[in-house]
Amino acid sequence: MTPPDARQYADGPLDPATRRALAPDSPTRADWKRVSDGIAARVLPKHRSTNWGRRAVAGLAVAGCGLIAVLVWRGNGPAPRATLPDVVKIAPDVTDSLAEFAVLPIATDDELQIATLRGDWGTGLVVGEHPLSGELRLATADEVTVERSPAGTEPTSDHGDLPMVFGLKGKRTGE
Amino acid sequence: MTRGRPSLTTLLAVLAVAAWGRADDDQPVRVTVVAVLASADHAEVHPKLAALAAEVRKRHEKLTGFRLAATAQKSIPVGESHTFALADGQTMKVTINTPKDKSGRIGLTLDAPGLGEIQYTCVCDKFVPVITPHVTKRGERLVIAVLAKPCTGK
Repeated sequence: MTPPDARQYADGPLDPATRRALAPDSPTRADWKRVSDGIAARVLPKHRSTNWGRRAVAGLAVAGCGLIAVLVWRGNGPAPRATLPDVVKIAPDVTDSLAEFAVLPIATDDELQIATLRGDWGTGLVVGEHPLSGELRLATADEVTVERSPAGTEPTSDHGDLPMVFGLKGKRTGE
Repeated sequence: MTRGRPSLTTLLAVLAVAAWGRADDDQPVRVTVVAVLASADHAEVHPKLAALAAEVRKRHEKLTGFRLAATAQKSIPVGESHTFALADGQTMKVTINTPKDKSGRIGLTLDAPGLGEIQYTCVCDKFVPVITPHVTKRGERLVIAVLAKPCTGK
């Protein structure tokens, strides 16, 4: 290979034809392109472009599923909170509201004070003392001191050992 | 000037305590209602219902199996009521009568199915169990447990 004469460059860069005439063995643009492609093929991972493509497809798929889910939820999802029914029943297997308890703590007799009971509770109470525990014991006339009674009533205060009963004065039931 | 500081501090403390007490009175009560179905046909007891089962068995020895049928929770202002759905089509009305008092008790009225009304006060962090006379078609007895505690906002 003969190097170009430096004098040939005096008037500026050579045109390709002159350059090839002066140095016919020098690489052409096609040769440089082939070398560049070869380097790129070895240095850059072959699957990179494919990987980005797959990621893009997966991203689009996820976004599409999300969009569909939102549309379905808005169409068939729960009603707005303001229109919730007054009585809300939670599914039997949902125990989130009991999550704070490993075992439900039960009140003891001392921790429960029953004020009133209406109806027949029988054995409905598990803890707490029934206001009416045991048999009804009626106070006798000797155990009661009548200070004032409602007008029209007459206590049976003359029978000391009998239960004190208040009744309407002068009226009897239909016996 | 220095004499005024303790008085001001005391006044602020009193106001803070009053405000705290006021807030405690005003806040609604969070009521948790648990519907349990008890049976004499099996002996499986839900882990959360171990203590309840032990208390119920003291009065109803034949009830050996306890399963969780439904759970519901609702914040109810003092003086107001709410009807809870239980199990097997049964409901129960709960009324908050009094807020948490000095002894840490809240007053409630329950209108339990098949029993009637019960008015009581109970400590805040314990369940009050009630055995109703209602029996399902599968022969399970409806048991209710009610807990009331001031709403903490958590």
